[in-house]
Amino acid sequence: MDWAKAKTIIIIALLLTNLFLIAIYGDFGVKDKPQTFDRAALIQLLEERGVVLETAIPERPKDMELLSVEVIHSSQEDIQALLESQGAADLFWLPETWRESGAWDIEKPGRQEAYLECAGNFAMALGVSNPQNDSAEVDQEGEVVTVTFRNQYDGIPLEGSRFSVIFRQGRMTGGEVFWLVPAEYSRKKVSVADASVALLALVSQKEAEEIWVVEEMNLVYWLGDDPEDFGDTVADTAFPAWYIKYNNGEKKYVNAAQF
Amino acid sequence: MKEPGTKGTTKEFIKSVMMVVLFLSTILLLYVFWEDINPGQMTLGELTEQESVHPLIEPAEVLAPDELQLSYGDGSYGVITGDTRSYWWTSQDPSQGPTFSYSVREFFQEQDIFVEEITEEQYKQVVAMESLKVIFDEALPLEFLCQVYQWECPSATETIQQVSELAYSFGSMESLFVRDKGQGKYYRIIGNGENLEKTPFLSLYQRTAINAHVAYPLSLLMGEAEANPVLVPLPNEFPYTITTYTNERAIGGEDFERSLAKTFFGNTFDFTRIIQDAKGTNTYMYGYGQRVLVATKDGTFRYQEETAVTQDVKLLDSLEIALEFLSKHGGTQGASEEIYALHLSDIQQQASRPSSVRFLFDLWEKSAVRYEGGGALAITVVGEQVVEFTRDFYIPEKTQTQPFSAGDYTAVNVLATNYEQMAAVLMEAGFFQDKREESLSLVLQSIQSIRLAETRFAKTQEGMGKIETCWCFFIEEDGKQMEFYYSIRDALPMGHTFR
Repeated sequence: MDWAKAKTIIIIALLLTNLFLIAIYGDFGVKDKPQTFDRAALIQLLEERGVVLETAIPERPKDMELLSVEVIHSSQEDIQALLESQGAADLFWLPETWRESGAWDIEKPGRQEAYLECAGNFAMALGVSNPQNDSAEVDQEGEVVTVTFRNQYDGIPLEGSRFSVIFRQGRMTGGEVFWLVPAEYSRKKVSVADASVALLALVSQKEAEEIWVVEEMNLVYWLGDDPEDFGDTVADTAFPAWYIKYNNGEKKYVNAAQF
Repeated sequence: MKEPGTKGTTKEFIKSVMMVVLFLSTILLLYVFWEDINPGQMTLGELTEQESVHPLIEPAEVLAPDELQLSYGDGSYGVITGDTRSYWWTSQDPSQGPTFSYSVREFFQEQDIFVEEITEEQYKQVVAMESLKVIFDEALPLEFLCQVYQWECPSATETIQQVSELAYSFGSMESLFVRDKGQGKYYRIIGNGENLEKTPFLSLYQRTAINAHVAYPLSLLMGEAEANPVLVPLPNEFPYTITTYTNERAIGGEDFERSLAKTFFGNTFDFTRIIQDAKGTNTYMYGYGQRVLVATKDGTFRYQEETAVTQDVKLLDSLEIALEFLSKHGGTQGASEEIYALHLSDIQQQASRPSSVRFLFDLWEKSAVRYEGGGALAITVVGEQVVEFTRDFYIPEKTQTQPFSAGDYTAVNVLATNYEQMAAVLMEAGFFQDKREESLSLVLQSIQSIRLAETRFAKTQEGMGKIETCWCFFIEEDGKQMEFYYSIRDALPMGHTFR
């Protein structure tokens, strides 16, 4: 037997096997699956059952990791204590000249950045480590300005994760903190239920005579409970879920993890 | 100048290395894809990780009487309340002499055995002669004991339901005597008498007598003939031990907790929700709570799962299911590698279909270590399924042992000093509701046993505490049971717990 030739053949065979495996599973375990339903038929079926779609049905999702998150939530007592602490005005309020002159409107130049800086200082003081300015919303209603940060992992929103602070005439007066920090993701990925499955689940949750108009639907990481139910939880595991907004802001979550 | 053939050799060497590397990478890729895992989360340890296997514990290994009593036939007695196990059963042919269960097995090999019910008076008379008696605080069905120890119990014994006491008297050498405390019945199991001169009970009696503590009935010691005849040990000297303990979670840390948790969730562990709270409690949850494991800071692990469709099984099968479950979930090996023996201390059976049994175990070192509140291990078996599992093993830290003489603090003195405190606690707990007698009388009547016992006292929130030799008084009234613990050094109360 020509051992040198045999080795060459084995090397080529192994190389081809490896390339085949990588090509098939290219994205390391993420397998694209074909759509399992006829969109038009689904939309018709849903309408017959009283669910009207005003949004596009999301594409079939890829497999996802479960996400371990660190939970940071501060009580109103802690927030107020921090706001009343020495030096709070320097860190958490707009500059005095702007406040005194009533120039705290967010439309004025540099104001949004100033609000974000104050909110960032406040977050740091509370141990909220990673609010990103590009995820922030700065809204104004009269003399009240609200800065809200949300969080996401790998492009998927962490549902419920919210850090917001309220300013009145440029002075920070309150806030709400329920912040999820991605800490670790699972060793294995879970298959994620198709959007059609979630929409059909929605049908089963409504009364027959009701009409539900779906305004928004997207995939989120969800902890399964409302923030106020978390008590003294410091870490939890977020699962993929379908977030469905319907009938002027009503919300439903449908667990999307398939084991 | 290169030697001829060097180039070819180098080329072949490179090809060999490539072949090995490609082969290994193929295996790795196949593993990653097969398991559908994230390569970033894969560790080398995982590849070498093996499912831990713990030896299966046999039912015979977890049963032992709580007390062994000898009557010398002259009004004096001997008791063994610590290491009763070595007199009860061994896994091999007893090298130091026959055990009680071995002797009973020999007895049941006789032919023509029959059973008769006797009176309490007859029972007391016969065991007052030279005799040997084992006492189970938790009565066990005779059929169950027969199955566990391969006693060839004849059909005549089917009339006996539970065994609270099992006695052999040299005053009636062809018989065994049984007390069923729950039913208030006494039985005599009569053999045909052949070969009973060679009864193994004789050498067992002699062996036990050497190591037994002297004991006298409480009625005699209190000077009241009507008082309780329960035996009070009066040891000259005994080993006094005090041990500080911590818990498995404190020693084994997150690695121990995770490896134990993985045994409950298996392949689904990766999809298990893990919730940690500020008090240090970790909750592992699969699905919508179909399976939940809670690990608390004090080192207790509680696992529950939803009941599935299952079918009735016998008590022995339930115990075997419980012990098999234990062997798959941590076994009796503690986080610090020592292996404990178990002692079945309580069986709570519910009259339901499917069968539902809760087994409570103490850990056994040189004797059973009683827990003030709860036990080391509790397993609930519904039909063929374990639905609840609680593990609360202690890890000893520092141990001090010294010979001790009870001196002024004998059990009787402890009782005389503390009966009012005992009565007050019992009344507050709902004992003696319609009784009008004096405290001393009430307490004396309800004492079921007085023992020197190793007791694990209640732990702190961090799961630490002490295990100490103490006087243990077991009280029972109308089915309610309570244990009191008193210091052997100063007779002061150390705690009490419902059993």
